[in-house]
Amino acid sequence: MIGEFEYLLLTAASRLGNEAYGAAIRQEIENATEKRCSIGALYTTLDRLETKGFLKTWMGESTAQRGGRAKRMVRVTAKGIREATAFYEVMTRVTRGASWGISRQGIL
Amino acid sequence: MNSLLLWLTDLLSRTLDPDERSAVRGDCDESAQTALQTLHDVFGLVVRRQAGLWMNWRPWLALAGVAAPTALLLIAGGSWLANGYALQLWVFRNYADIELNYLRESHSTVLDGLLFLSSRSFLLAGWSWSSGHVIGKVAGRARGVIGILFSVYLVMSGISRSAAPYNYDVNGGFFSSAFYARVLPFVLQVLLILIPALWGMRQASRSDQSPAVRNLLWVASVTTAFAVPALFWWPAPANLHSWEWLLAGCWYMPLVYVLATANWTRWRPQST
Repeated sequence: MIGEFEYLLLTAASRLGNEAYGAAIRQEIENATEKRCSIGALYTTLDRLETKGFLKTWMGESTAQRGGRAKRMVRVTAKGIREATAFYEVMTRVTRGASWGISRQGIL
Repeated sequence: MNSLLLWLTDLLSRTLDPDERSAVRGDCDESAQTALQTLHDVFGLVVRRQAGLWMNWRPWLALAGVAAPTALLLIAGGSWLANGYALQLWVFRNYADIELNYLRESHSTVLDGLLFLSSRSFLLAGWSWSSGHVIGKVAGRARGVIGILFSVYLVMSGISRSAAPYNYDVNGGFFSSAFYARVLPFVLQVLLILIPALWGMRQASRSDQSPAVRNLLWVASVTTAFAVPALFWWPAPANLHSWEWLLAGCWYMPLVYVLATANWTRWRPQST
């Protein structure tokens, strides 16, 4: 099973869709967790997930905003979606019955 | 301050793959981070990448099997040459006071001295360069860290050098002066060992190596293998410790490397 940070990354990349690349994914993770996301953790996790076949990366276009440097684009693969779904289901099941498992909407 | 931080970031970034370097620096620019945050981020990534590399056997082989024994032997060679420089400089300085016949018999004329020093200096620099090349190739992307460790070791050994060079009765305390005992060996160690070795490591990182560099590596490797044992340690000087003899194979490493990686197909006769 994937780890917590791997899940965060896969989810952020999936939400961003065609706009998923390093800086955007990092921003998504920081917004969600309200914690700083280090570039080192982000890029080494991207590599690990790509090696496992959970996502695919390629070098995209460069923009003036980035000082003319290229983006590393990311796309979550079907295998990655399955892993993230499995992680989510396990977390949902394991949280059921816990005191913090009752959401405001009472879904859990 | 910012320019220093950016320079350090650029320096660190060079250890990353070109694509990754571009993506990471672009991400940092886009996030409008401070120079310090960018340096912190790049440093963190470099540390993680290097840690990943050192999980492999190659950097350890390059460090323990090639760089460390080669550095020990190069330092011994540099030390021996520094003693030679000290002696020849003393002869040049006192040339007028020494009988010409004695200078000829002992092969210590100006021409002999210059030939001796220049040939050994070229040889030591070529040995260092070719060894640096091998270290760089074996280390792969860990060559940056190994280069730093190699440099630190050489500089520290140069600074902490305590062995006094030749101390003949005839010259009294001449060679025990700080210049001959410490400064000259250190300068030679930097000029003839450290700089050529780091240059060799840097050239090893280039994938598009020119034929001239490949040919130079062959020449330096063959020369090192045959001339170093003959000119530096034959006959064996008293100052070569027994443990240094155990490392003697180090001067064959560049030749072994070029032979092992040679593209033999170009030497093979073409079939018609």
